[in-house]
Amino acid sequence: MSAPIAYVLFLSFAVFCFGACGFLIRKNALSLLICLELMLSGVNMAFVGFSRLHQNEGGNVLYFLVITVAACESAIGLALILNFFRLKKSVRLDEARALEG
Amino acid sequence: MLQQSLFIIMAALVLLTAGLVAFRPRPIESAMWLILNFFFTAGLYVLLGSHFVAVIQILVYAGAIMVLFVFVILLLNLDPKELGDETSLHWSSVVMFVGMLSFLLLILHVAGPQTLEPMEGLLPDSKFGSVEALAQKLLTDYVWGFELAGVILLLAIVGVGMLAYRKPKPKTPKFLDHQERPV
Amino acid sequence: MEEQSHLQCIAALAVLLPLVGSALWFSLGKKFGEKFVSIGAVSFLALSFACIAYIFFTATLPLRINFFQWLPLGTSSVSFAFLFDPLSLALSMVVTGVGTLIHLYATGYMHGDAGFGRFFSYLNLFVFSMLMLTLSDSLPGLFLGWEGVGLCSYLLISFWFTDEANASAGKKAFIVNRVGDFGFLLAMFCIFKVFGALSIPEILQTVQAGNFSGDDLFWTRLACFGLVLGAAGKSAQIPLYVWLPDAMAGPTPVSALIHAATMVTAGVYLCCRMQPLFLLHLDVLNVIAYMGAITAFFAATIAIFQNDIKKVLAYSTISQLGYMFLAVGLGAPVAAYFHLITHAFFKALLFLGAGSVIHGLHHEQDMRHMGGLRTKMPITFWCMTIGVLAIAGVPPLSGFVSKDEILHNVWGNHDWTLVALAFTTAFMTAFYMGRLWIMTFFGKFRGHHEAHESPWTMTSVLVILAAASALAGILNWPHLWGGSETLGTYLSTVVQALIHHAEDPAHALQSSLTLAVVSSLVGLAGLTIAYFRYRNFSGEEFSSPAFRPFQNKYYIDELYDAIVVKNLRMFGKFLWKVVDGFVLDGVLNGSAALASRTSTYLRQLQTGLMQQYALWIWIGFLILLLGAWTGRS
Repeated sequence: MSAPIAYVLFLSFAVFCFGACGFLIRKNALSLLICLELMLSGVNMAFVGFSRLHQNEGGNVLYFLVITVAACESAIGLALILNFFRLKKSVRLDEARALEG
Repeated sequence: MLQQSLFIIMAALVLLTAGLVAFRPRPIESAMWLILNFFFTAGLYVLLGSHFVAVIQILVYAGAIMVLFVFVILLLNLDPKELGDETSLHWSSVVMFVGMLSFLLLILHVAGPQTLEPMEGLLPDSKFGSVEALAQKLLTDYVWGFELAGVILLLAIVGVGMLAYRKPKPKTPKFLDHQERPV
Repeated sequence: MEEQSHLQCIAALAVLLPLVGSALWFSLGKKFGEKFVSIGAVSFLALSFACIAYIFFTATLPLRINFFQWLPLGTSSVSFAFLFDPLSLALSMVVTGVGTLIHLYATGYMHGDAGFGRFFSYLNLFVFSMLMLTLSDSLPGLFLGWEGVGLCSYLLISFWFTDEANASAGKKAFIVNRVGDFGFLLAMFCIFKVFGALSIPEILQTVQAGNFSGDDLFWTRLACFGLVLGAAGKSAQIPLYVWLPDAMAGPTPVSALIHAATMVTAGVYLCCRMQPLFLLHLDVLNVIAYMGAITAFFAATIAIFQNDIKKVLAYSTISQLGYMFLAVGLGAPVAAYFHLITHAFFKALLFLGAGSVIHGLHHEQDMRHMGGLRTKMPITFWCMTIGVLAIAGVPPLSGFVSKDEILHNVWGNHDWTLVALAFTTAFMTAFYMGRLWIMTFFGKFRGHHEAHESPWTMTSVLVILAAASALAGILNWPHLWGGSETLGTYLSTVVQALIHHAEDPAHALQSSLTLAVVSSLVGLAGLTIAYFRYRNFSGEEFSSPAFRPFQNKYYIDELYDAIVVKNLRMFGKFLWKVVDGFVLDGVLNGSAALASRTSTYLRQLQTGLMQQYALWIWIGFLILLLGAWTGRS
């Protein structure tokens, strides 16, 4: 006896939406990266849920790959933030608008 | 029944911590809540039967990645002005609306009589979620993806090294001994 | 076959030498220096003349030399070929022969000019174009030469282009010629429509075979009128003669070569070349005859009142060309051709003589400031005398013989209007040439500069041309006077005479002698009156207002200016100010302004804020999601 797949997916969507809203609302780059992790985590839930639904390890493998990418992304993102901080002495993203039309 | 109520409780905790992650103003606070969130997520995975994944979640995510975050946040040691931590109010209503709307749409998209049925239980001798099963899959069918993930990690290491490396500034030349000091 | 390829080389050489020369002198004229250029240009042309003469004496006519297929046109095709027949060979001989002499003369005349190499380049290019015109086997080839000579004419008239008047004279010649070229093109289209071919022998063969319907006659008539318009433009006939007097702005050798001896006779050549086509429409021939007669008369009346020595000669050229067209229109192409050749000699002589006078007087062209040059420039004087006598029609010089033949044909046609016009013109010709001669060489010297005789390169040419104009009458001395009519026999294979004098020989001899006596008396009378009128010329003349229309050339230039040029200019201004300035610029600037205005609004989307872009992405995703949801069954 287990929960229906729909519940897992609802939870996954909710976490993803929290992450996305945070990503759009927050102003400093560090919070943005954290929200990004939250979004990825939401997606991972869906993968694991599907894996469980079909009793197939493929979803888990995908989870594995996603955390790999997440690790890379957070590492590079943090390096970029470091450089940005050196340049501007702040991590406010609205200061990075050199491409304004 | 117990499992289902456990699932609901766990889901509620995950949602709560996710909201805190997204909307607490200071990054260090967000990071801490995220670690908690990962723990609860790992609990959820256990309930779903993916034990190995749950372990990985705690080890890699909560243990490694989040430590990196916390480390950088502490390294920068930002004061509130540098953070610019106030949320942008003139957007937030729009964003919340869009978020809610898409959440609603996705629920409507997914919800159906089939998906709302509980998932089939695992057979007693099922190896689902064990290290063996995952390794079997990962190193046979997905071996190329696995290798690629390794390459991506390598690239990330190199890239971060290049990005973060700063040339040491040339030292301002001191007066050498044989030169006379200007009087 | 071997004969053919051998002649092919010679023909190609004859035509290509001037072209190569042109390219050489144009690009390297400065580097080579004056001496090299003059020797080179003259020798190239002399070689070309030698090649033509070789073909003239050895080839069996008619000879068609094919080079390559040029324009494939549907069912037929135009090949690049030369046609050597009596008509084209005779004219080519004149072009290269007189051309060589004038090149030689020009080396003296243009001595020290800054554009020496350029001048000879244009002159050689002209000879090339003229040879293309005469030798071409097809109408497009002929048109190529036709346009080429027009271009050279333009380039050479405005040779001293720093002077505004010269430049605008060149433009005038070019633009007026365009009107004629339009006629030529029209004729070419009509001919292609009817015959489906553009090769001249092919067309003429079809015409002579006579296998076409009455419906085609409309198109051939149109073609004939088009050709007449083209010929009138190139040969300066009414109504398109206005460019030729202005063309005298060019250097004198140019006036002699292009605007007297060769290019302006291209119209006559064209009419003779397409004669079978014209024979289908005798009314068109009549139009030509009247056009020629009226032009001859009209130009002669203007020539009497001109004071510029070159202008007198220019109007005289128009008048003589009118004679040629008169002969063509009366169906006497041989007479026209004969006059063309003799005219080439004596008019070149007169122009070069005038050039020698102008050169000797340091570019003084007004006859009122000449006079008494008889003793100062003896060689020029004697040569000019022969030229004047020849054009006035004094026996037995060449002009007399050729003009007499034309008058003879006019007389035989029994159209008394034409007879009156032709004889009056003959008288006036003698009068104004006598006026020119006497005002220039007799009386007291009225000029400002000390006159001097010209160098040998110029005088030697004058002497040769004088000999030619004196003796060229032998070419076609009539049978009746014991001659052989060489030219007539030579040309008889390609052109045919319309008028047959079917009288008994004794009567014919008598009437022809009477006519000759009358015509020479007319010429002598003109000269005599001129002598008494201008013997003691000292300055002003023709002060009565009644002469004003003549002096002002009948206000034709002013008329054209008022009717055509002003309106064209206004139209141009309209196009410039309204169409270009308002409509076109308005559309362009308007669209640019529209783009810039919309972009100022659209630009605001590009805030540079990464999160806003992410929001757009999400909204896009939402739209996709809505689409997927509504599309769900």
